[in-house]
Parts: sequence; C-alpha cells; structure tokens
Amino acid sequence: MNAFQSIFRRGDGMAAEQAERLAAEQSDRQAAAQNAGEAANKATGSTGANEPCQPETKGPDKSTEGFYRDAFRRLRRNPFAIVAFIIILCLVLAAIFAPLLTPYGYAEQSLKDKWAPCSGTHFFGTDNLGRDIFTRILYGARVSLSVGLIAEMIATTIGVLMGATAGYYGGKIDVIISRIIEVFASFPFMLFAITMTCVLGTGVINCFIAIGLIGWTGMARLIRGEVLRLKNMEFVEAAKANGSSGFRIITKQLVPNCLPTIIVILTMDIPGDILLESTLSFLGLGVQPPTPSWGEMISAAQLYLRQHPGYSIFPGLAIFITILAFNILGDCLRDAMDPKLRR
Amino acid sequence: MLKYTLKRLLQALIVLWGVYTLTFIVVNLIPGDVVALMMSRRADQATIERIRHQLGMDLPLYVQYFRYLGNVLQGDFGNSYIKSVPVLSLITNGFKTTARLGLTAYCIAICVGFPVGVFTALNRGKLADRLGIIGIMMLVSVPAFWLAVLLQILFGLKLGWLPISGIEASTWVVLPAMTLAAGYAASMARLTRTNILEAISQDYTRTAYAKGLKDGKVITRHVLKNAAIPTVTLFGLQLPGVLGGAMIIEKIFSLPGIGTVAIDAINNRDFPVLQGTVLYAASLFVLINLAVDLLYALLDPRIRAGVKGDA
Repeated sequence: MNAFQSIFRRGDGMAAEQAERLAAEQSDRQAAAQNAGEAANKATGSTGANEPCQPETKGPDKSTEGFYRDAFRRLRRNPFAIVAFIIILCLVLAAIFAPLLTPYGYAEQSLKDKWAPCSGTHFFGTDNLGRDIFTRILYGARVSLSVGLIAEMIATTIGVLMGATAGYYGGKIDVIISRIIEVFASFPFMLFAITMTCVLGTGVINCFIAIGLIGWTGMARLIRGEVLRLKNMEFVEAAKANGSSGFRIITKQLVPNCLPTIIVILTMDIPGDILLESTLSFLGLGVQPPTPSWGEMISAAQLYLRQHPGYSIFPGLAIFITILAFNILGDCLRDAMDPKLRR
Repeated sequence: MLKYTLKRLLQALIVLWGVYTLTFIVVNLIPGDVVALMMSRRADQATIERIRHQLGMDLPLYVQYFRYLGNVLQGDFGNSYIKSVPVLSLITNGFKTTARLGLTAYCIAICVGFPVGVFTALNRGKLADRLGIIGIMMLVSVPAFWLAVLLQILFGLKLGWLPISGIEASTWVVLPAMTLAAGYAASMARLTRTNILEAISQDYTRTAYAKGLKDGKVITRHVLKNAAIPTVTLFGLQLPGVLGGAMIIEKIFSLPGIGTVAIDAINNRDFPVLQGTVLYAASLFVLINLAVDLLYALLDPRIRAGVKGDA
C-alpha cells in the first residue's frame, strides 16, 4: 500500500492523471482484502501496517497531541523537509510582497527594453513586450500558490464529505457514492479539466473550481477506507450510545481522526493542482493575460524558442522548484506520520 | 468466483453508463455549438436552423441522450460534425500514433526505471541511493510540457539532432517518448525501490539468508521475484493512460494522436468526437481495471470474501 501511495501522485507529469487513480484503486483492493482479513479474524497483528498512514489516534484520547508533536519533531529533524519548507515559505513571501520586491508592474511594458538580457536591472531579462520576466514570475507565484490552496480546499471538502458519508453509512449509500467516485475517476483527467474550463469559462477562479471538481476522488477513497476502519472502534460506539447523530459522529469523531491522512494527501495533491493549473494556462484555458501565470508564460515563450530560449526556462524552473518542494514536503510529512517508523 | 465476476462486470457496466451520462451532461453544458462556430460569419438564421435539424441538434436533450446511447450500444459513435467521417475512424487513426508513442515511452520507462529502482534499493542509505532518490523526485516534479520545451530547445534547436514536431521524420517518436517516459520511469523506479525494501524486510528473505543462501541468490530468487509482482501490476494499470493519449505532449509535438483529436474536438465544439474520445478512454480504463481486479481476486481469495461482505 505504502508503495502505491507514495509512488503515485498527480504531480508526475503526464503519468499524473492515472497515477492518482491507480493509488486509489490499489487502496481499494488492499482495503477490501484487509477488511476481509479482519472480518475473518485471520489478521494476525499486522492489520494496520499496510495502510498509507495510520497514526495511533485510536480515538479522541490524550495521545493525539503527542502524535502531532511527535510527527513535528521527526519532521524538524529531516533536513529535506526543512529545505522544502523554507523554499515554500520564500515562495509565499515572494507572492505576498511581490510589489515590494520589484520596481516594475507585471503588465508594465517598455518596448525600447524588449528582449533585454539578464542584468542587474532585469534579473531574468525582459519578454517580447519589454515586461520584466522576474516580476512576472513573482506575481505568477500568486496564481500557482492560490491554486494549491483554493482548488485543494474544494477537492478536500468534497472528498472528505463523500468518503466519510460512504464509509460511515455503508450499504446502499456506500454503493452509490462508490460508483460516483468510480465514474469521476474513470473520466480522463486532463480531458475533464479542459472540458470543465470550457463549461465554466476561462479565468483564475473558474480554473480553481474546475481543478477542485476533478481532484477529489483520491481523497474520497482514502477517507472512506479510513472511516471503514475507524467506525467500529469504541469511541464511535460510545458516541452512538450517547445519542449523537450520524452527521455529528462524522464531523466530531471520524473526520478529526482522519486528519493526519487528510493532511498528508492534501500536501501530496497540491503539486498536482499547481501542475494542472500551469498546464491549463499553457493551453490558454486557465489564467488569461495580462495576469501572469507560469504556464501562460511558457506558452507565450514557445513562439520565441529559437531566438530566446531563456524566456521559457525561467518560468518552467519556477514551476519545477515549487512542485519539487511540495513533493518533498509531502513525502517527509508522510514519513513523519507513518506508524511504521514510530519509535 | 462466478458470483464475484458477475458482480464486478455489472459494476463496470454501471460505471460506463455513469461516464456516458456525465460526458453527455458536461458536453451539453459547454456554451456555443459547432454550427454557430462554423457559420459565424456568413450564414443566415434559416441555414443555421436547417443544419441544426440535420445534425439532430434541435431535438429535446433527453431524446438526444437515448438516441446516442442506443447508437453507442450498437457500436456507432456517430459522425464528426466538422470532418463528416465516423468518430470511430478518427479514434482508430489517432490510436496508431498514440500507441506508438505510448509504448515507446513505456519501454524507455522500464529500461530506466526498473534498474534505477533496484540499484537504489540495494544501496539503501548510501550516496548512490540519495542521488537516485533526488533524481527520481526531480523527474516526478518536472512539468511534462516544460520538459518537452527543454528537449526541443536542446535536441531540436541547439543540436539539431531530432525533429521537434510532426511525424514526417522517422525519428519523430524519440523526443515525445522521452518526455512521456520521464513520469513513468520515476513512478517505476520509486515503486520498485519501495517494493524491494519491503521484500528485503520480509520473513522469507530472512529465511533465505538463514538457510545460507548467498546475497546474489537471495536477491534474484526471492527479493526481485516478489518485488516484481506489484511492478507488473503497475504496468497493467498504467496501460489505459498510455493508450488514452497524452494530450499535452501530442499537442506540443503536433502529433496526430488521440489527445490531439480530443483537443481539436473541444476547440471546434465537435461534440460527437469529444464524446467518443472520452468514452473510448474511460472504457479502456474501466475494462483494464476490471481485468486486473478479476486477476487479483483469482490470486487472492480474501478480496472475493471481502467484497461480498463489504458492499
């Protein structure tokens, strides 16, 4: 399980679209096998070891805080995590304080300066309209980072709700939701994204919504599996005996206990979203000019590939570094929250 | 087993029907239609109405839904609005390019990914492993379209070794396949590495060592064999993605594959073609998954029991 979980994420280029599905598929299979094992009482102590990340939050007990502190301590000791975190922090700061970091505006044209080379005044040079490329990359970080945030928020909300509902209620509801998840997961990922942007129209917000509407199936599947595992535990029984409603049990008991899983999946999904946004913008379906987006810049640079290859290299590097940082952080987070490594 | 097979088959059919319905809804939500696009400049209202009638676009949506569903069930995906040829022939034409690109990429991914995975796992914790992991991570993170541009600049423009677009030259497949293979190779390497590390820590490996087998024998006879199973599964599961078309890469390299067919269909509002390509890709996905599931169930009785008790 860990294997599949860790290998696949939406970030890996063109393999991305099926990767997430595969991971989810795999998790379903393993979960089915595992549930079966538990049901038959044949699971001999190794039950939990296969799940993607199973923190020792067996209930809303005191160890929860200890778990997070523990995970954070392990994360802090990992130099890769620190570097990735610092990179992401720098990107966030650059996005927020972009106007202070550069004297130019992102749409400010100066035709006499067009195709200026890299220099002290123009760090990465200028483009065909004399706009400062460094400035546009700084502002482009705003789009890329907010895509990670907003699209992932939409996807997480849908995914957690669907997954938890299916897992908790089981029966017909589970069957219906599981089929819906499968339908969305079978849909060619990129094709769906492009079609949705056609339906919603181009633009930053619509791009976020389209990405959010596609990216929820992996989360839903994993949360469903988690809830299936958790729902027979004592603390849920206790809540039921208290007379709590299903909705209350899901929101107050089950979702908080799935939080480590949610955090890990979220971090791992963000690079996929950033990649998808830049791809859509590259195709001219996402962010519209003059608002700078890294994907849109690479697309514009394609016309000048021969004369000015640098124009396409810098925004690509920005995407690359951002995705790399999130991927590394996600990996480290998973390791930090993985019970197998818990001492 | 028979019961499980029937159950999974039924599920697959339901999912396919769901995909059809979702496609139909989404496609009909796209604003603008082909006639308006084609005729935007010259035609008068009457001509537009006539063409819409000919194409069956003036029928109520539910009629269109069932009519098209009936046709699809008979293997008729309709005709392209723009090119007036059967959608199926467009797909089969595109399939040749896509399959050649995808399978070449697959071969590159295996040749690079598997050895790297084995090598890093066997050198766990050493410098080679660290470097390998960093390399894999970088390949996972590099955006395909940017990698494509970089390869075009380097091999196409600077060195002039390879063509950067079209399929006229015999070496057309090299650059796009390299771009496509990057992601697959990275997945493959990571998966292989994790599997081998897992296999090494298993009891059967310890037993093999305990009975006095040499390092090399343990690795080839026990570790590699066991680690290869999930890797082979991965191949099966990635197949629909490979054959479904790599849209961005096909577009950047101007390859007439299925991805290009789909993108053109969206841009031209050529709905039958769009529906056809989505259904084609989704069916591939559902059917190959079904096959893998059945194979798994055949090999692992717990899954059969689990699904029965579970759903």
